[in-house]
Amino acid sequence: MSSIIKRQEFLLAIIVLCSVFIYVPYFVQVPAQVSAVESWLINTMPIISATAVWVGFYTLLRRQAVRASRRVRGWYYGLMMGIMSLVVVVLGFTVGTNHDAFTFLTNSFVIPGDATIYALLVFFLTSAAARTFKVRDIESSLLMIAAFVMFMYQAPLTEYYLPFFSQPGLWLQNNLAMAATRVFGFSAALGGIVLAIRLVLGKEMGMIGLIRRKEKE
Amino acid sequence: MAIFVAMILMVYYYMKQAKPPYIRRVAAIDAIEEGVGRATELGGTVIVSPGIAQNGMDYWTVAGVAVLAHVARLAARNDLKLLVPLGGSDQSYALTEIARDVVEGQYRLEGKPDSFTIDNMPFLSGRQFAWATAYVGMILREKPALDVMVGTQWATAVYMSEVASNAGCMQISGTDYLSNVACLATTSDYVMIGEEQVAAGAYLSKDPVQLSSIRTQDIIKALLVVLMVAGTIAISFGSKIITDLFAL
Repeated sequence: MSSIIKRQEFLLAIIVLCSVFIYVPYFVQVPAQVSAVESWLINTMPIISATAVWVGFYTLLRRQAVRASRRVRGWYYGLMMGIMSLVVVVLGFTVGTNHDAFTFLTNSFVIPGDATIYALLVFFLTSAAARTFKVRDIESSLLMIAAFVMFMYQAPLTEYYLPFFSQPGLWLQNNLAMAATRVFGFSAALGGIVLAIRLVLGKEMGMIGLIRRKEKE
Repeated sequence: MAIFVAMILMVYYYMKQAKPPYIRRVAAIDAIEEGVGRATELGGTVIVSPGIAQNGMDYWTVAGVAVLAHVARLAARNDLKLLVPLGGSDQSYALTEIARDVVEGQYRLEGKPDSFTIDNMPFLSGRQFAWATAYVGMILREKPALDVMVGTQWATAVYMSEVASNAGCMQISGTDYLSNVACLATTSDYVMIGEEQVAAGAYLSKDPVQLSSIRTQDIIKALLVVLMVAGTIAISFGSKIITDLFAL
């Protein structure tokens, strides 16, 4: 049985079947039974994801336990994380996610941590931009001018006191940036369709863990 | 639907041709081998992120896994230490297991199953910022020679790539988030733009069938460009012939 499950043809058949059941009803009117299968497949996805959460939780705890037992550098941080994870899970199951203790943990640890990292992004963006916007040639000069105009247009203070940057800023945003955005959107969508075709043809099997033996041969 | 069917037919047509279709070179994908070579010379480590899979196993994540598989194979071939810190979203748990399976497969493919170490593919956190911080910590501790970030990369991408850049890594990036492409361009040595990342799996395989699909994609793209230009000209002269065509 396991040899059948691991066969490329078997997995490919599942991919094709699932694709057909989800893809066709999107475009064509189908009998209720087919729609029911489509709904079942879509509803199954969150269940699989939820199951995977527990696998992730287990592997995270296991890794931290191994690190702690080996006393690798910073093992106590891992141990603390493991204990905190367990506390959150136990609290979530026992008193619920609306309990004061649970919201205290979220508001006191998780949200400030996220906010700190988000604030740090500004500094990393600034240092990266400072390196990039050096005027070396015509292209980088154009880039720098465009960036300067957009900066003056977007920053609240300069937008208020130097309103003449609004017009070129809006033009850059609504024409050049919009055109580039749509090109990206088109090409990405086409790429997605082609990837789907390759998957259905069984040519992009790496994602389901199949070894490409033919390439090795 | 029509585009989808047309593309399948075109892929089938190109598959039947004896000669593999011409595909333009993608610098960012070609640079992966260069980066692995650099890591080999330096005796360093390679760090890869297949993305945070914010939307589950969508096509960007599938593409990220394809790139991960390629880097894993090269790392196995050159006996390099491969670090793949996983996590970053509520949906990344499934990706974690898939990525581990794929990387282990590549090590087996290279005849080095014992070199695969699951501890080098830790699940760090289901939260994006916590995961990014741990990822950055690994970069600073391990000082990898190559950092490849692909798949779905959101706000933290620039944070990670900037730290990697400062740590002396060669940086190759790709993302599904358009605003991030500009940010990554400032911090990376090479950036995959648009569908380049999605096409990476096919591009790297050198398989004529897969290359056919990219060729088809390029042709459809050219047709769309022609239609857009024609539509712009038509509407400028007061004609709605092109817009009416798509209003059906």
